Formats: sequence, structure tokens, C-alpha cells
Amino acid sequence: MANEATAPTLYTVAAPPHWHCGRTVTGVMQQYILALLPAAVMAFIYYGFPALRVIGLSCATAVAVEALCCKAMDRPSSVDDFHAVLTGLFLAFLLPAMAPWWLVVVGAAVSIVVGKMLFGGLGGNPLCAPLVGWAILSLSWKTQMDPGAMVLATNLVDPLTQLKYLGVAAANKLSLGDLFIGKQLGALGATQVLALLVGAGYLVSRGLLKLYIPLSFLAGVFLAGLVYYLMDGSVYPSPVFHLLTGSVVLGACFLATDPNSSPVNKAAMVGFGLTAGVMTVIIRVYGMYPDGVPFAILFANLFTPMFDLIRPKPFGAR
Amino acid sequence: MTKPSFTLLAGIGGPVQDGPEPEVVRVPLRGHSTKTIKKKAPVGPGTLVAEHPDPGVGDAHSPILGVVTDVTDTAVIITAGEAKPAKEGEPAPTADPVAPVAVASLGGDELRKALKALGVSTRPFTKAAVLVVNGLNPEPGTGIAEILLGDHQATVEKGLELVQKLVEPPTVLLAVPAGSSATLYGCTVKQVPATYPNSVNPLVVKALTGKETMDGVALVSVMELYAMGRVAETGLPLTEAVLTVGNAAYRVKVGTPIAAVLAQAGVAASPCDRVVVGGPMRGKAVASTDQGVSKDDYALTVVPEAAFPPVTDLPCINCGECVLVCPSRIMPGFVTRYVEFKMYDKAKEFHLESCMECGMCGYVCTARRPLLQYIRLGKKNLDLQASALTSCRLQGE
Ligand code: SF4
Ligand code: SF4
Repeated sequence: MANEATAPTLYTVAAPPHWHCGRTVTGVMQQYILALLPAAVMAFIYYGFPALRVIGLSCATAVAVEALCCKAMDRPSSVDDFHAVLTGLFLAFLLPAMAPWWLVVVGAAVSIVVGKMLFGGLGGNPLCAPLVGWAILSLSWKTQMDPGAMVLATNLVDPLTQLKYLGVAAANKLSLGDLFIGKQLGALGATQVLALLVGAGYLVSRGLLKLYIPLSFLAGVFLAGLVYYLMDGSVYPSPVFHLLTGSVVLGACFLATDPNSSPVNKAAMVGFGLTAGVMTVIIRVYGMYPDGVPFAILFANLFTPMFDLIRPKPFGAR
Repeated sequence: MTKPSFTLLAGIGGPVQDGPEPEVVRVPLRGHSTKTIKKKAPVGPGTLVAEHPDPGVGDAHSPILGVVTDVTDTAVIITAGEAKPAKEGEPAPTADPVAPVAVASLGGDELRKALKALGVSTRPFTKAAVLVVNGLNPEPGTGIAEILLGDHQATVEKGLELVQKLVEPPTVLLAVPAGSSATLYGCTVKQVPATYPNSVNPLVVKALTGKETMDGVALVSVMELYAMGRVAETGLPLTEAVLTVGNAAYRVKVGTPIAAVLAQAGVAASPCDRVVVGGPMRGKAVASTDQGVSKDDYALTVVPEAAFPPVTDLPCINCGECVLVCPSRIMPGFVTRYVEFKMYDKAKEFHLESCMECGMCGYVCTARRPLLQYIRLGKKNLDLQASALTSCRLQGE
């Protein structure tokens, strides 16, 4: 029995539930970074130290800019949740390995400031933050963002520019197996198809990545690619070519699934993924950018509030 | 960190053991009238200490022989010991001062009255077409329903007889966890997957009747049946609760300090742990283990401080985990964001009121936000708004 003379023992009083699954924001970000490591290693294998330089610079800038933003906004620093690192990593994956340093710095800073902090930080961003940085760089410095123009000392070819400027015959010469293992010129991390799939598989096995968006995104790309291919196989490449090139896999598994800019109900996630996937192919066919993925995802992001209206009837509702 | 298991088969062995003999009890009051209680009044087991103004809510009785030492808004405190008579010449209370009531022979309103006087709440038991008996353990880690159905079936059936007299249902359905062979006389048994949150009442009703509504359904838990069965068997007022604590179940006198029950069960609570009345998903964390056990408690759970990440005030990152687990099919992330910014009407638009308070959303929340707390806050404020509105209308008339 409690001794009246001693001070009472203090217990934690909190609302239920008293259990928790253990998943935290910081933990999830760390796991995502871990899942991207294989692709980073492959980027190093194909492009050498320049790739590491871009990755390091991008992550460091993102962290520094976020720390400064928090200071300016007079709130506790949020960099210890690793989201800034992850944003920097995603942006680097979308850049050519030979991107000039200022391009990387501007891209990472814009991703954090415009993509995230202007909207109040993580949880407020209506668009996928690294894609915001990417979009502004692409619109402003087209040449510096073009891997074909930037990475000269290489035997790799960019399948999407081949397709765009030399036609489907040139694109068909490329082996799909090579594309799958990342033997293609492009953004340094986005083209590491196999390595990215390994990372995504790891996240799925840990329950940190749900497949609604990735699978419907890939299905959207495949179906739209198939429609064009069946319309005229001499003008349009096979749907598998679409799946293996550009940043389709990175986009499907990692960028379209960015939590805050994607919907949350099952049917809405499927619709969102399909939309982004189909848009990818449409931009590739008609647009002036060879890789449609980033713009397709940004486009779908804009409709997330609409997709969020697709929701089941609550329990007991008639 | 091992992830907690959500199975509703606790595997806690019965039968129910006797709980501690408390030196002091704090009999909880829930809106009972405290006017009739006098300090220093001698009481015996079963002596009425506080009536409840609502005819559907049970009165409160002393579980022990002793003296009323204090009365607060929320509890009557009784210290055990030989009690002197209140006035000269009156007989001193004895260990069995009240005469048993043969409730089994009563019916209708007489039965209701008798049960209320014996401390049993009959409010939920109105006439209905279907009576659903929730035979599932209420939460993971709490095994009381399993034990009562397994080892105390006869008592539970006596309680069921009483409830059937009140509800007069053509159909009685019993929900048991899948794999269980438990039955009750006169019930159609249905198995329900033995994982939380399937034990939450609306989901049990859905599983048994196929409908997402409580209309025409009366619901009773095995614990309530057992309590009524004990009253039917003894004819004496209800002054005990059955709880699972650690790896055993105990029959505990109402008002027994939580500390005493934990001590008997050999469950230690260190500073900063959570001492929870109820289970880990819906239970109430208490500030002090001096607090007394109440009639409708079914478990005590200690959750160590370091077992789980602490609650945060981080913003929702919209990961959607809560949406995927919510059995009410609402969007807890959205709802709680609206409540957080006091946009209660918006929260209502997102079906805040459909929440059945199972706690699953808070369990999975990546940002570790106190989701259920926000939801309750939102419900409360909507209630306040509604009642303010009605009182305005009344004034206007
Ligand atoms: S507590 Fe959370 S998960 Fe459970 S019904 Fe309510 S909102 Fe849904
Ligand atoms: S689980 Fe938490 S962080 Fe995720 S959407 Fe729900 S409330 Fe937001």
C-alpha cells in the first residue's frame, strides 16, 4: 500500500491508445534513405565521383536551407527528421551526374523553400517537394538539365532522346535488359531501374510502402503505352520501353507516393496513380520534354484534393 | 521492439481468483447523489451508500465492513474495521447486514427496480428484436470474457436469464472468437475473427446481424452478464468487478485501490509508466494508483514508458495509415487536423461522429499524434455547440 508520507509516484497520463506500432517520421525517412542506397551505389558505378558530388551537395544544401528556414520562421529546427536529406537525395536522383554545382544548389534550395517550407514544412506541401525544384530547374536551364548535353565522356545513350529525335527504330535497338540494369543515360539515380525496385521491395516488405499508387502508376504507363503501340508500332515504342526508361520507376515507387501530395483512400490512390501514369505517356508522346514523369506527377498532385473527395461511406451511413 | 499482438485470444488461465482484502476502498461515484452519505457512518458489505437519480443506473454500496471516512464528488472512501453503531442503542453493522433479494422470481418493472437497488444498471436493456451478447475479450491482452465463458458459464447464464426478461428478444446471438467452443444456453453462436478491433460493439453487431446500426438491437457483454449472474446467485448488491491483471483474473471488491490489485497480481509499475484501467487500446491512464476499481472495469494494464515512442505534436504528414485501419471508414488524419484548428463543423463534415473510438488510428499514426484525443475533443465541442444551440432556441420561444 502506498506510504502516505512519501511523495506520490508520478505516472504518465495520456489518451488511449497506449500502444503504438513504433513507426515514426524520422524512422520512416531513414528507411527510405536506406532503400535509395542501392540506386546511389549504381549511380556511382556508372558515373563515378561526379554522381556522389551531386548527391552530397544536394543533400547538404537541402539540410542547410531547411535549418535556415526554421531559424527565419522562428521555430524549432526540423532537420533531425531526415526529410530534408531525403528531399535532397530525390532531387539529386533527378539531375544529370555532370550538373554544375550552382544548378544543384539552386535546385535543392528551391525544393526546400518553395516545395516545402513556404507551405509550413512537412505535412503542408501540396506538391512533391523535389519535383518542384526539378521543375524550376528544367524550365530555367534546359541545357544544363539535359544528361545528353552534360555527360559527354560516356558510352551510355539516352533512350528517351533517341526516341524523341531519332525515332522508334533507334529506340528499339536498345536492349531492354540493359535498360533494366540501368545501362542508359539519364538522370543519375532515376535510371537505376533494378536498384530502385530492390529498394522499393525492401520498403514494401517492411510495410513502409503501399502498392496502390506504384502499381496503378505502372499500369497507367503500360496501358497508355500499349494503346499507342497498338495504334502504330512503327511510330511508338513498346509499353515495356516506357516502363524502363526515364524516371518511371523512381516516380511510381517514390515520388508519386510522397504522402502529403497524394490521396489516402484506396480507390483515390488507384485513380491518382493511373492518372499520373497515363499523363506520363501523353507528355512523352506530345510534350517537348522527353521524360514526362515529373510533370505528370506534379499534374496529378494538383488533383489530389479532388481525389480525396473519393471516399467510402462511413460506418453506419445510409 | 517487438510489435504487440492484436489477437483477442489472451490465453489467460481461469478461473477467476479472489482479489485482495482492501484496508481502504474508494467506491467510485458517477453522478450518484452524495446527500445521503454521512461521514463516520458505519457500513457493512452491501450497505447502500449512494443512490443514483436515474432509475436505469445502479446505486452504490459498500463492499466491506467499516466506516465512511470521507466523501468527495467522485468517491466514497470507506476504511475497513469494526464499526461502532451510529447512534446509541442501534445495532452495530455486521458482516452481512442486508437480506438477499430473490431477483430470479421477479419480472418487468419490479425486476428493474430491484436490480437498480442492487447496484445493476439496466438502462441499456430496453425491449429489442435482437439481443447480442458480446463474448469477445474487449481488447488485446485482456482475457476476461474468455475466462467467464469457459469457467463461469453457469453464472453467466443466470445473468442472461435476467437480461432476457428485460429485453424479451425473439433472437439471442452470441459472438465468440473464431476457434472458441464457448456456448450459452439459448444463444445462436457466431464466430468472429479473433483480432482487435473486431470486439468493438458496433463491429460485433455488424458481424452478427449484418447491419451497421444498433436500431432494434440490445447489446450486453459477458462481464455484465456475469455481474448480474452473481447478483442472481447471491441476491446481494453488486460490489465487485472481475478484471484481468497480468496473467490471471481476479474478483475485486469495488473501490479497491489499483495499487493493491497490481501488488497481488505481481505487476510492477515504475514512475512514468502508464497505469491503465482497461486495455491498451481504449483504457484510461490513471494519475494515481490509489484510485478505486469500478464496477465496469475489466482489466488493469501497465504500459512501460520506454515501450513505445512518445506522443508528439507533429503535424499530420498525410501518410494515410490511419485511413487504412479505420473500421469506421473515416479519415482520422483529416478529422483531427480540423479539430486541431477548431474547425469542428468541418470535422463533422468528415464524419467525426462515425468514429467508434477503437484507437487503431492512434496506434498506427506515423507522426504519433494523439488522434483519439482530438476526436473526443471534437465530439465534445460539437455536443457543446448543439446544446448551446438548443438552449438559445428555448430562450427564444
Ligand atoms: S478511433 Fe480512429 S480508427 Fe477507430 S474508429 Fe475512430 S477514427 Fe477510426
Ligand atoms: S497516420 Fe497520422 S500522420 Fe498518417 S495520415 Fe493519419 S494522422 Fe496523419
